[in-house]
Amino acid sequence: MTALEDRLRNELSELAALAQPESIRPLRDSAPRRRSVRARFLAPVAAMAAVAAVAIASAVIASKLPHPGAPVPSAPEMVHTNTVPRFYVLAEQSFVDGGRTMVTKAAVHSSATGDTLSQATLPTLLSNGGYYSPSITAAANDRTFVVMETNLTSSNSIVWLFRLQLSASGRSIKVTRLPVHVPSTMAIDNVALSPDGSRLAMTTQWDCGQSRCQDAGIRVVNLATGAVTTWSTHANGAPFNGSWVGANAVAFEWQPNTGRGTGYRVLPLSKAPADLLTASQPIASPRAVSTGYVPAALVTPDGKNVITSEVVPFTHLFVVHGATARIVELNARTGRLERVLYTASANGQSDMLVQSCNVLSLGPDGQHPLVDCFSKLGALVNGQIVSMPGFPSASSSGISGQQAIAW
Amino acid sequence: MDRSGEPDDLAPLTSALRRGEGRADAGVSVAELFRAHHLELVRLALVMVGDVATAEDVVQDCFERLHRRWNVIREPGRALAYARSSVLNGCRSVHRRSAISRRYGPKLAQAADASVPDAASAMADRGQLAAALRQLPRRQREVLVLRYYADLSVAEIVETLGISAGSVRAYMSRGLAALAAVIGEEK
Repeated sequence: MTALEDRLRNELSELAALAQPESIRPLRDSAPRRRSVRARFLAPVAAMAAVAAVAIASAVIASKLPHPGAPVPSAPEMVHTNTVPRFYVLAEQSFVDGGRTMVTKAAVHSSATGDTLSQATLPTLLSNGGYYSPSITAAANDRTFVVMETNLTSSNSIVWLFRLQLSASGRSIKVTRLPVHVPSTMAIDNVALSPDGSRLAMTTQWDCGQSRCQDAGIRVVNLATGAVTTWSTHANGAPFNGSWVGANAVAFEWQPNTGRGTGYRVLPLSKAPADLLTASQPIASPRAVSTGYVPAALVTPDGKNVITSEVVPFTHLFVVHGATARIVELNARTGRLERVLYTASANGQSDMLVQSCNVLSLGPDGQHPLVDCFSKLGALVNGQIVSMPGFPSASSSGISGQQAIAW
Repeated sequence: MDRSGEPDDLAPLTSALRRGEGRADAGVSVAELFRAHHLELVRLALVMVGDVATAEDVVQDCFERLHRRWNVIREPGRALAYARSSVLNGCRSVHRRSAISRRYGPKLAQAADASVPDAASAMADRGQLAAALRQLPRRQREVLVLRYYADLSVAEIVETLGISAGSVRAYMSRGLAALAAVIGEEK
C-alpha cells in the first residue's frame, strides 16, 4: 500500500469516527414521508412554487419561485412562446401500490402553462437492488424525446431506451422501445438524440476482456437500421456529457484518468471510425473548478459557441464556504467569453457547491438553456432563471436522482 | 427499551412498519439490518457528504426505502449491499437537494443550531485528502470510499455499485491519480 493510500484510509477513518453511537440521531417516524431537515423546510416552498408557478398567458413564459420572506425577484422580460420550446418532458420514477411497485412516468408539459398535455407509463426495469434512475434527452425538433432507463445489478447493466413521439399539439404521445442493443458489460454515461431524431449518440465505457483493461468511446446508433458506429480508444480516460453539434458532429467531455487535461472535444461523424482522440478535436472548455471536475457544457447547434457554467468557490483551509457562478457563452474556437448569461452566488459549507450549477439542455435552437443552478431549475431568460411552469411537482422540492427533464 | 423489547431508537421506525399491513417480515428484516449496520451506514454517508446531519438524513431515507421496497428485493441476503448502494445513491441526490437548501441558508442556520461548528467541517480543515476526495467525480469518489474506508474488496465493490471489476479498478486508479495530483499541487 502506498503512502497516499495509507493517508487516505486514515483520514477517512478519522472523519467517519465523528459519528459515534451515542451521538448520531435515531431514526425518526417515517410516516408521513420525511425528507432531509432542509428539504422538509423547503417542502411548503416547493408546494407553493408548484401552485404559484406563474403560468403566463398564451404568449408568455415567465414565472418565479416564491419563498416566504424572500425578496421577490423582478419578473423577467416577457418572451413569446414561439421562441421557446413548446413542450418539456419530465420523466419521473415513483412507487405505487403501497410501495410495492415502481413505475416510470413521462409527462409532456406545456412550457407556457405547465399543463400536463399527455403522459405515458413506461415499462419499468425491476430495481433488484441496483441503482435505478431514468435519464432523458431531447431531439431538436421539439417533438421527439428519448428516455433511458438503466438498471445496474451486481453482474451487469441493463439499459432500455424509449422514444417518445409527440403529436403536433403535444396531447398524444407514442412510446416505442428502441431496438438498441447495449452489451451488459457496457456502462452508458449519457445519450443524446440527433437534431432530426434519427440517431443516438452514447458516451460509453466497457470491459475489453482483459484484466485491468477498460475501453471507452462514442457509439452512434442509427435508429432506423440499428447500425452502430463506434469511435473507441484505449487511452486512459473516458468521454462524458455527449451532445450534438449540428447534424454531423458530437461534442463530449474527455476526462483522462489523471484528472489533468480534462476538456471538451468535437468528433466529426463524417470521418471513418478511428481512435476517438485522434478523430476528435479539442474545443474551448470550461475551467475545472476542482480536481477532475469540469462543469457540464453544451455546444450550440451551429458549433460556434459553448454554453457552460463557471463556478468559483470561496475556500478556507480546503473547506468551501460559498461560491459564485456564471453561466456563460464561450467562443468554441478561441474560448473567448462572448456573453454572461446569468450570475448567482450561494453560501454554504459543502464541497458539492462547486458542482451545483449546470446547463441541462439547450432546446432545439440552442438559444434557451435549461439550467439547474444553486437551487433554481428553469429556463434562462434575459439573465434570470424562469421556473418551469408545472415544476417542481408537489412531490418534490427540486429535480432529484429519480427525475429527468428536457426540452 | 419499549414494550416489544426493541431499542428505543427503533421504535419510531418499527411502529411505522407495524402500520403497514402484511409487512411484518419487512419490519423484522429492516430492524435487524438497522441494529447491525446503522452506524456503519451513517459513517459511509458521512465520508461521502462531509457532514453528520446530512449523513443521518441520507441513512434515514435509505431505511425508509428499504422498508417500502423490501417486497421487491429479490435477494434479501444482499440487503446490506443494497443498503450501501442506497446510501451512495442518496448521497448523489443530496448533491441536488443541498443546492436548494443553500438558497435559504440564513433561516436554516438559525433553525439548525448553526452556532455550533460542524465537527465534520472542522475535521475537513485537517483532512485535506478527505476534502479533495469529495470533489472527485462521483464514481471515483464512491469506489475510493468503498475501498479505503469500507475496506471492501473489488468483488464487493462490484456487487455494491453494479459495475464491472474493470471499471472498479479504472475508477480507483483514476481517483488515486487525481488525489496524488492534489497533493502534488499543494506541496
